[in-house]
This record gives sequence, structure tokens and C-alpha cells, in this order.
Amino acid sequence: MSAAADRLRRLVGVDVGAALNLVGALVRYLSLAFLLPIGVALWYSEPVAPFLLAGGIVAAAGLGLEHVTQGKERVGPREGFLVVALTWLFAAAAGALPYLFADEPQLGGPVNAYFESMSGFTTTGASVLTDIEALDRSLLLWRQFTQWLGGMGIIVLALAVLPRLRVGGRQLMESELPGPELEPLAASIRETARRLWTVYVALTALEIVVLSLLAWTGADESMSFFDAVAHAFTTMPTGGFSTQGESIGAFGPATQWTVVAFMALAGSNFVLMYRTLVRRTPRAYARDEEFRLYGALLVLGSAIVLVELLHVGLESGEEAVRHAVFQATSLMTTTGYASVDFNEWTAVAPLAVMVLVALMFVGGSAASTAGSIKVVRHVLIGKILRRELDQTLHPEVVQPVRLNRRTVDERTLRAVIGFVLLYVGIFVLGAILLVVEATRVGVTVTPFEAIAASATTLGNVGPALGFAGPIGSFEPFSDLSKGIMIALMWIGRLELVPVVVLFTRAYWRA
Amino acid sequence: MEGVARVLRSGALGVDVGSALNLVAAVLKYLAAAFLLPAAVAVGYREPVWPFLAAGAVTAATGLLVERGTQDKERVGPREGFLVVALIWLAVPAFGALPYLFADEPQLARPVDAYFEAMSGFTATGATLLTDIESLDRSLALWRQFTQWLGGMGIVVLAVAVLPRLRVGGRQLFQSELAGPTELERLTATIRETARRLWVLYVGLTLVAIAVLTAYGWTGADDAMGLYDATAHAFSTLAIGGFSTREDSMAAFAPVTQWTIVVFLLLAGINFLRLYLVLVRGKVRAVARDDEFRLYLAFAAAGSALLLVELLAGDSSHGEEAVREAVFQAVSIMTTAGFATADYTAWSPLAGLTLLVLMFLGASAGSTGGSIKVVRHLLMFRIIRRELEQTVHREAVVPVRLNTTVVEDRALRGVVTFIVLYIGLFALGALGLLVDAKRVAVEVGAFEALGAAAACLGNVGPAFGFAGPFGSYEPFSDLSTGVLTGLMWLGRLEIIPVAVLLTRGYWRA
Repeated sequence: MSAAADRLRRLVGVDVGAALNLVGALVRYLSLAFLLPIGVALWYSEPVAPFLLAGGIVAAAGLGLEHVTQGKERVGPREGFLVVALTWLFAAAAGALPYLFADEPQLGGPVNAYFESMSGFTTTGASVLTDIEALDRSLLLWRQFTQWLGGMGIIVLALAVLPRLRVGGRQLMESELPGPELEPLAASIRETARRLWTVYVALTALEIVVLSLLAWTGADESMSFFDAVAHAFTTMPTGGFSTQGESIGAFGPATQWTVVAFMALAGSNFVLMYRTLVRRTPRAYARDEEFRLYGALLVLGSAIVLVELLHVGLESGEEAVRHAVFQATSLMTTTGYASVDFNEWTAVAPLAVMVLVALMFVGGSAASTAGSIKVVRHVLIGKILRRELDQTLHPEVVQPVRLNRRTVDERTLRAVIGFVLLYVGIFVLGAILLVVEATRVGVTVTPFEAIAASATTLGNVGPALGFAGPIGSFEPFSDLSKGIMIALMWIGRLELVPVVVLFTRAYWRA
Repeated sequence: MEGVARVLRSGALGVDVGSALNLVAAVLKYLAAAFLLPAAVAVGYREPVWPFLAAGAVTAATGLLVERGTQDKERVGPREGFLVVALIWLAVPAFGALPYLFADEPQLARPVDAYFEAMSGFTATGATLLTDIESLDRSLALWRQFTQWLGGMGIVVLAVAVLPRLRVGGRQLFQSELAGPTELERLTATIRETARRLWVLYVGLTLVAIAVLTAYGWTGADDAMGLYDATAHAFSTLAIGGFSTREDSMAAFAPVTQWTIVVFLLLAGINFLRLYLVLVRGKVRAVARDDEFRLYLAFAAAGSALLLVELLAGDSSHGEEAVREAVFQAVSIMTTAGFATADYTAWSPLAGLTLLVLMFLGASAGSTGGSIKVVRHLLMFRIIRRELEQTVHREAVVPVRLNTTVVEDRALRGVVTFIVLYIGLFALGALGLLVDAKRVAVEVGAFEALGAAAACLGNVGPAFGFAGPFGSYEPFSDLSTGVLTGLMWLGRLEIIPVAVLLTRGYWRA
């Protein structure tokens, strides 16, 4: 046994044991997360058992895994990829347990439960539920809470609070935080993680307060404290789960505008936000190249949708503006809320829908909670292209690419290009697989719907088109299709590389 | 006028526009000779000859005048090269459109429409505005096919092969017109010799195709085929163009003809520099061992298989017919020809998406096909793999190889730039089409817009919806037609020669 293990260890260049050990530790702490839904269940006198059971199993599994593997003071960068990839697979599995134990008929099968949980942790927001409001409140809130936990990153959270992860954490953190390169926010990685989480918690609290105020003052009668908390949990991580079948369309205009503001905030760079708040330098925003393009694209996307809505006469006045801005912001920041069923626009306003699908590829800023390609990568791609064209004529000229006046090193640029190409490739592959599978099982999915479904899951957006539209459900997809989309969400949330690298031979070679 | 000329000469511009125009005019002058073929056909079929004679005269006169009005130079620099290629490809379709206008063909009566048809011809795209192809005069229909043949291997490449003047400094001109990143291949011969080889092979294969197809007609293997149709379709097959003289495209012909076209399309999609070595020098390994060729066949096989699955599942056709339909459509769309033997717009979503993806594959570099090209996909895959390897081993220097040769970083960056620009233009084009369709109230779905943009940028031809293989681009508005014309032009020149013209650095002294 041990001889075989030794031989394997010599052949494999990755310390799988140490990686699993760390995953075990992370999973063990994840069991604490079940305390929140337990509290809610007690409050509303709903069954507590599913959460207790899930928490127990998760804790036991984490401890068990930790016990059978050898721990190490620190894991190397190579093991880091494995840790991140596995942690997210395990976390989603752990999160699915309450759905199974609660005997919720809509999430009865393991595939459905895992899909819902992966969609939660990756802050995607795609759902297989057909009747959301039938869920217990505690279960509903757990669903929202998984998004909140996943939004800023499970590992980033662990870095902030767990002592053991302090060393060697930068690489772990970078593979989980969105964006090409983490700007240091503080000297130590732990302090950076703490500050990010502080901003995140503070903004969530602020949104809960604002939404609750709207409820108490009577500005929005359909809002309640429960809904305020539930939706703050899914706005800040740009998640998109809602407790309502109609998503944010169930609430009043005041709430919708508030949510727009918080989505836009959640999609902006948290590092930049922290600096601005602490140093009181609002001009840093205006000077930031990524933020400028982010703002410009939000405005442009909203404007095109608005013009189209007015043109075809679907909506008018404040309502048209609100719906245009809401949908554009929601899809670009990869949140996935809807204030109206934009799937119904497909036939009458194809341009609006096309713009929304295009926005799914934009994403939010680096170091935000948003998914997809991210604005900064688009900025850099634009600059790389311009440099290439300049160099076509003057091959000798060496021009550095600058971002906010700082030179970006070539490694990062190449990584950006690698990412974008890989992203497009995986997206196309996903769309083809979905259509092939749909044809096999006889589900009707048009090519454009398949494109939208692949883009929405890979970009962690949420709703697609057709039956999987904003107020629809992913339920009609076959189990295999759901499996494909689970993989897409997982790969998309970890920004491809940590997962894809595991499938190369170079990774495993000693 | 004098003032403009003085500014141009004073050196405020870094580009010698005068000598660029001079070279464009020289090529244009020789283009006039191309009108002799349709003129002869017109005489043979007793159709009006004067549209072609007039077009030829106007072309020759314009060429001569501009040539005299501008200064001649021994050779143009690489900078002017971009301008020359871009302008030639704008001007040639403009003059190629003249016969359509002069012949008073009601379907192409407006200049925008005639220009679209001519651009679609010369760029070997195959998108058409005609709704009733068979009502055209035979001479006009053949001119349409002939434009594809002229454009297929490249106008500049032809000029380099036969015009003495272009011999010097031709390399760069040459490469901006040849399909794919051919600078990856070490050209052993001189540029003129290379151009000659390409055209010899091209003409040779075309003649073989004409002979084979005509033989089918004579032996009765395909009753619908005659010398005229054989010639017309050989022109558009070897150019990977896709124009047909028949409303039903290749569905009008027998299965044996359809299989033959598949073979010739596959041949035309191989790198001609390598194909030359195989066919003329007998070096089979030049192709058989080529990384790109293998992936090219694999793509074609995978595309055919997906379509076959779809056809068999749909229960619409069986046996040989299903195989033929699947293989034909996959090969025709992937090599960017655009012929059709079946109306794939009626097929299921799987087929639609598969065909849309195939439009982005293209044929090999150095072939007459358009789109991204297989070698770029291959390199892109290897670039990504290298990136992943370097994520794990930070210090490792991993070269990217093609057929055991290390590809230098510059070329790799060029590939990436091209692909990103290609995707960007495609997305912009599709959005533009939707915006405009909305404006003029033409029914265009999102998927159809994606299809039309991909089909024109990739020089494929037919798209989906009303612009399907048996349909026509006619319902699009003039603005949309203009956008699509621009996409065909950009796609044929592989974007970069045009994109460079839009940078400030290009024009600065």
C-alpha cells in the first residue's frame, strides 16, 4: 500500500495528499455556514433537521479527509490549483445536501440539487426550480446565502479568518478572485482578504438597511425584511437568485432602482472602492481606465436596449428606462436578476436580446464579484490589438502596453489573451454540446438559445433564453446537459485556468 | 487639386499615395482583358456583347488615365503595399460590377446591388442578391462565375505571376492577399516563381474539373450537366466561391457530380504550395505529414459526422443520401464555398449551430478558402496549451511548433491579433445588421444576423433564414448590404491590411 503510494508520489509531481488535506480543512469550516439557515428555520418553525444533518455530514467529511491525508505547513503553487478546483466541487456538493434532505420535490434528484448548489456558490443564478415560492423560507435563504458565500470567494474568506492558510495564500487567492492580476491592497495577503471581505460585508449590510427602509416607509409594499436580506445576499455577489418567481419584477420601481445601484457597485473593483473610501479620493475612480470603460459600457448597453424598446413600442417613459437599465446592468455585471421577462423580447426586439447576450461577455471589473471575461481584459485586448497594428508597420518599435500609466508585463498580457481565447473556445464547445444533447433527448433548443445557455453559465450570469429565460427554469434540460452546465459554471467561476490546467499532462508530471 | 497634390508630395504623409495609385491603375488596366471571356461567350450564345465591351473599355481607360496622372516608381515599399491591396480589392469589384449595370439586369439594376454581387464574386464569397438566377443571360451568369475564379487565387498573385513590373517588392503585397499566415512557410522559390506555381496548379485543377464534369454530361452520368455548367461550376469550385448558375445550386445535379464537387472542394482547400509539391513533384509527404492538413480532414470529418447524426435523427433522409447531404454541406460550408445540395435552413438547431461553427473554421492557409483557416486554429490551440504549461512551470520556455519547425513569437502574435479582430468584427457586424434590420423593419432574427455576418466575413456565402442556400440576400436594406460588402472585403484581405490603414501611425511620416 505504502510502496504503491510512494511510487505514485514519485511519478506524480503534485502533492495530492497535502492538497486534499487543505480541502478537508476548508470543507470542515464550511459546516459553520449551516448555522444561519438553522437559525432561520428555528425562527419560522420550519424543519431544522436538513441543515443539522448537512452540517454534521460536511464537518465529518472534512475532518475525515483531513485525518486520512497528511497536512503540510504550506502548499505550493501547483497544489493550489487543485485545492481551489476541488474546494469548489466539494462546497457545491455540501451545499446541495439540505436540498436533498429537505425532501424538496423540485430538487429531488442529485443532479438537480447539485446544479442548484453549483449555480449558488458560483453566483450564477440559473435555477432548475419551477416554483420558487413553494420552498421553505429557511431553504430559500440557504439558496441565497450560498451565493453570498461564493461571491467574494470561499478561499478568500478562509484566508481572512483561518490562520493556517496565511502562507502561500496569494496564489490560491488569485485563482479565485476575478481578474488577471490582483493589485495588492495591503502588505499581507491576509490583510488584503480581510479588507475585501470588510467592504463586501459593509455593502451587504447597507443594502439590507436600504431595502428594509423601503419596506418600512411603505415605498415598496411587497418588500419585507426577509426579502431585503435575501436579495442583499444575491445582489452583492452579483448572483441573481431571488425568492420570487418573477425575480425583481415582483418589487416596486424604488427597489428596482436601488438594486441597479448595488449591482453596479458590486460589479466595480473592490480594491479601488476600498482605496477610495479610505483615502477619500473619488477622483481615483474617474482616472481608472477600467472603471471608465465599465461605466461607458453600462450606459451604452442600456441606451441600445432603451432605444430598441421605445422603437418597437414595448414600453414607454420611466418604465422603459428602468427596464432597459435594469436588464443591461443585471446581465453585464453577471447578476442575472430580471425586472421583466426579457425572453419575451426575443421575437419583437431581437436587437435588445442580442445586446443583452453580448453584454454577458463583458462582465464586471477585476476584483469585483462579477464573472465573465471582465472589463479590464477587454481594455487590455484593445491595447494589445492597437500595438500589434502599429508594429505591423514598424516591427522594430518596442511599445509597452500601459494600464493606468503603469506598464503591464508581457506575461500578464499573454495570460489575458490565453484566457480570452480559451473562454471563447469553451463557450462554443459548451453551446455545441448543449445542442447535440438536446437533439439526442428531443428537447427543443434553438441555436441561439444554446448560445445563450452556454454564455450564461460560463459567465456565471444566470438566465438564458427560451424555457430557461429569466422567469423560466433550466429544469427541462436533460441530466447530461445539466452536468455540462455545472461544469461550465465551475470553470467560469474559477476563471478557467485553475480547472483547465488540471487537464494538462504538464501539470501532473513530476 | 494642385493643393492636395502638393500636400501629398510635401511629405506630411508618410505614405506615397501617388505610386500606390499608380500600381492599382496598372493592375486595373490588365483587368480589362478579363472581359474578353464573357464577351466571347455572349457572341457564342448570340447575347448582347456590348455590356462587356463597354465595361472593358471603361476599365482600361480608367486604368490608363490614373496611371498617367500619377507618378510611377520602380517599386513600392511595404507601407504602400497595404494601401495597394486594399484599393485593388475595392476597385476591381467596382469595375467588375459594370456589366451587371450595363446589361440592364433588373435584379442588379442599382449600383449598391451590383457592387455587392461583384464583391461577393471577387472575394469568392458566393452570397447573392439574385432571386432568379436562371433568368440571367448565359454570358452574364458566366461572368459572375468567372469573377470568383479570378478572385479565388488572388488578383495580386496573378499580377505578380504575369506582370514584370510587380516582380520586385512583391512579397509583401503577395502575402497580404494570400490566405492564411503563409509567412509561416519558408518559400523556397522566388516570389514570382511561387505565384506562377500557384496559378499553374489552379488553372490545371480547374481544367481537370471541367473535363471530369463535362465527361459526366457526355456519358450520361449526369443529364443536367453540360460543358457550360461544367465550366461555370469548375470556376466557382476551385475558387471555393459558391456561385452557381442554378437556382437550386448543386441540388440541380446528380449525386456523382455532388461527390465530385466535394472532392474538388477538399482539394482546393489544401495549401496550394504543398499541393504543388505533391501533384507536380510527387512528394506526397508534403501534405500527408502536414499538421494543418490532418486537422483539416479531422474538422471536415467531425462536421460531417455531426450533420449526419442530425439527419439520421431527423429521419428525413437515409443511406447514401444522408451521408452525401451531410458531407456535402459540411465540406461546402467549412471550406467556405457555400454550395448546397439541400436546404439546411429547414434542418434542426443542431445542424444550424454546427454549420455556424464550421463557418469559422475555413480551409488551409495558402488555399483559396476564406475564414479563420485551420492553421490558425491549430496554432491557437498550441498557444493556449503553452500558456497553461507556463502557468504550472513559470520558468519553462516552451516553443510552439508547426511541423517540427518552431514558430516565432511575432507570427504567433499575428495569429492571435487576427483571431481577436475577426471575432470582434463578426460581433460588430451582426449587431450592425440587427440595428439596421430594425430600422427598416426587415425580419432578421438574432441567429440569422450572426449567420449573415459570419457567412460574409468568412467569405462563405449563404447564411440562414431568407439568406439561406436557396434564398437571397435581397431583403436586406442597402445599408445592410453595404455592411456585408465591407465584411466580405475585410474577410478576403484577412482584416489586418485594412485595419492598419485605420491607424494614425500608418499615415504619419
